[in-house]
Amino acid sequence: MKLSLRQGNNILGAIGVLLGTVIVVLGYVQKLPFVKNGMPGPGFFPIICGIGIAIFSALLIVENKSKAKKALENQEKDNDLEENILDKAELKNFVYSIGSGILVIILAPLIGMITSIGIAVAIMIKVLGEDSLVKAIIIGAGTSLVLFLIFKVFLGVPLPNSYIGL
Amino acid sequence: MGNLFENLALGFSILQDPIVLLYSLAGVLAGVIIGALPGLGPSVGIAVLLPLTYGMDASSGLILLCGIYYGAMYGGSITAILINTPGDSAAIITSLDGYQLTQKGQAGKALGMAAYASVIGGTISVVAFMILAPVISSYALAFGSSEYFALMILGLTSIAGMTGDSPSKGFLAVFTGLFISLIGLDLVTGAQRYVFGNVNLYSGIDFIPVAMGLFGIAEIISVNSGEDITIDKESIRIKNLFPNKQEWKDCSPHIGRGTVLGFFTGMLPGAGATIASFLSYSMAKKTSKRGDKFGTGLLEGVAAPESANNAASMGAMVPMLTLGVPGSGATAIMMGALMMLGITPGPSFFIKEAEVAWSLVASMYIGNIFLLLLGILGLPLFVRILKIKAPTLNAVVFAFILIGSYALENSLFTVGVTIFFGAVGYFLKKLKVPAAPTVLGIVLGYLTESNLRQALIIADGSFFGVIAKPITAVILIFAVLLSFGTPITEIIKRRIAKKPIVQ
Repeated sequence: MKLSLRQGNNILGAIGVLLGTVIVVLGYVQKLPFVKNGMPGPGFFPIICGIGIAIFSALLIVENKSKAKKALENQEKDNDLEENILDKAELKNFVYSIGSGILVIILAPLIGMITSIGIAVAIMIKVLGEDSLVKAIIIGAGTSLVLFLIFKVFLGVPLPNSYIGL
Repeated sequence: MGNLFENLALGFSILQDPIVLLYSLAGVLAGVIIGALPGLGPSVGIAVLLPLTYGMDASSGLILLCGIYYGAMYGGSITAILINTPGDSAAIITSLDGYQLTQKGQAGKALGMAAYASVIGGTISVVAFMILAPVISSYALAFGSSEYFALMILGLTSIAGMTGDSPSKGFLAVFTGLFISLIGLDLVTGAQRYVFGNVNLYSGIDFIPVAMGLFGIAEIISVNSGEDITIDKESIRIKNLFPNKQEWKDCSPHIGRGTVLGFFTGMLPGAGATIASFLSYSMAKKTSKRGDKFGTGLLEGVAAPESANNAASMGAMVPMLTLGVPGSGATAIMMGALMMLGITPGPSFFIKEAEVAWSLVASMYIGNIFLLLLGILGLPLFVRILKIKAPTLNAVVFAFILIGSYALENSLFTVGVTIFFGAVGYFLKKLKVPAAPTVLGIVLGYLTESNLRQALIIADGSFFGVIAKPITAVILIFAVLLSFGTPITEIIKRRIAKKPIVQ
C-alpha cells in the first residue's frame, strides 16, 4: 500500500475544501444568521471557520503543487513529498488499536467497562506485542485492577458495570 | 518585594499538606517516565494523565499537571542520550552530544549534566516567573474584550504560523479546532449549531477527548516496536552521574545563557522549547572555546539545550497564566484543564486565585528538587521501563486514555469521540499537520467568539471600532507578523544546519 505525502496533501486539501463548503452550506440550511440585530449572529464564527478551512485547504493544494514542481525542476533526490507515508507496522497498530477501542464501546454496556478494557489490552499485547496468551491475559487483568483502584475506588467514577460488578 | 515573599510564604504553606507534595512528586515521576518514552512528550503526558485530576481541588490538579510538564521536558533527554531517540522534539539537539558521550562510556555524566542543567534552568526560571508574572498581570488588568480578542488571535495565529512544516496546514488545523469548539448550543442566542439532533452534542465537544485522541492515540499508533535496548549498567551508576570541577566550570556559562535565552523564548507564543534548545545549542557552539568539537560528545552540548528547554517550559507558563494565551500544545491542554478545574487563567489569576497561583510557584521550587532526586536516584527505574516492549506500554497507555475519556462525562459517546480523533489524528500526523493548533482552537474558540461579540457591542457594532484601539491594533499587527513564523523558523534552522556540527 503506497501513499506519498504529495498525494496525501492533495486528498487532505480536497477533503478540507469539501468540509469548509459543507460547513458554510449547513450554516444557511440550519438557519444560523451571520449577522443578527447588527451584531455577529450564531452563524458568524462557524461560517468564517468554514471559509477559513476551505481557503487554507485550497492553498495547501496550490502549495503542494508548487513544491512538487520545484522539486522536479531541481531534480531533488531527497524529495520527501514522494516518500511513502504509510507504514505496514503502523497500519497494523492502527487497525488493532482503533478496533480495540470500538470493541470496548460495544462490550462496556454488556460486560462492564473495566472488564472490556482488560480484554482490549490483552488483545493488543497478544497481537501487536506477539507475547504469549498467558502473559497478555495477566497484563490485561493487572491493568484492569489498577484502573479499577484508581478510577472506581480512588476517584469514584461511576463506570458501566457487568453482573460481576466490574 | 516584601509582598512577593509573603505571597511565596502563602504558597509554601499550602505545600505543607503531604498529599499536595505527593501530587507534585507523582506528577514529576509520571512526567519523566512519559517523557522518556520515544514519541511521547509533555502534551501526550498531560493529555493522558489529565483524568487523574478529576475531583481534585484546583491547586492539587495544577501542581500535578505542572509536575508532568517539566518532568516530561527532562524525561525526553534520557532516551536522547541513551539510545539516540529523543523522547520529544525539544530533546533532539541533546542527542547530538549526549549519544556520543554514551558511546564513549560516559552516559552517566551526560544524564547527570542533563538533570543538573534542567533543574538549574528550571529553578532560575521559576524566580523570573515569580517576579514577571504578577507584573504582566497587573498591566493586563486594563485589558477589555477587544484586547482579549486580539490576544486570542495572537495565540491562534502564532501557533498556526510557528508549528508544522507549512502555515497552510497550521491555519487549517486552527480553523478546524475553532469550528469544533462552536458545535453545540450557542450560549448567547440558544441556537443549535451543527448538532443534528444528537443530544450528546448539545453541550459541545470538550477539548480533552480531542487532545487525548490527537496526542495520545495518534502517537501510540505511530510508535514503532523498536529494537531491544542495551545499556551499559556501569556507566549509569550513581557515582558516575557527577561531573567534575572542570566540567562544571566549562558548562556553567552555557547553563546560564541557555536559561535566560530559554525563558524568554518560551514566553513567545508558538516559539516553545524546541526552538529554545536549538538556539541555546547554537549559541553555546559559538561562544565555547571548543566550538569545533560540538557534536563529538561534549558535556557543554548537553548542558546548553537542557537548561534552555526546561527554562522555556517555565517561560511558556507566563503568557498562559497571565494573559490566558497558551503558546504551545502542552500549555493549551493545561489551560483547558485549568478551566475544567474551575479556574480561568488571565490577568486576574494572581489576584482572584492567589492561593492557587502561589502554591503553583512554590510547587515549582519543590518540583525541581524532586526532578533532581528522581533524575539521579530514579535512573535505574527509567532504564528498566525503557526495556518494556512498546506494544505493552502502548496497550496500557491506551487503556488509560479510554477510561479517562469515559470518566470525563461518564459517557461512552466521549470514548467514541476520542477514538475518532485518534484515528483522524494518526493520518494528520502522517501528513505533518500539527495537532497543537487544533487543540488550541478548541480551547480558545468560545473565548474568542464571546470576546469579539462583547467588543462589538461596546463598539456599537463597528468592527473598525474594535480593531482601531491602540493596544488591540499593536497585538493584531504582532499576530500578523507571527503568522509568518514558519519561514522565520526555517531560516534559523537552516542557518544552524549550515554550520557543520561534527568537524
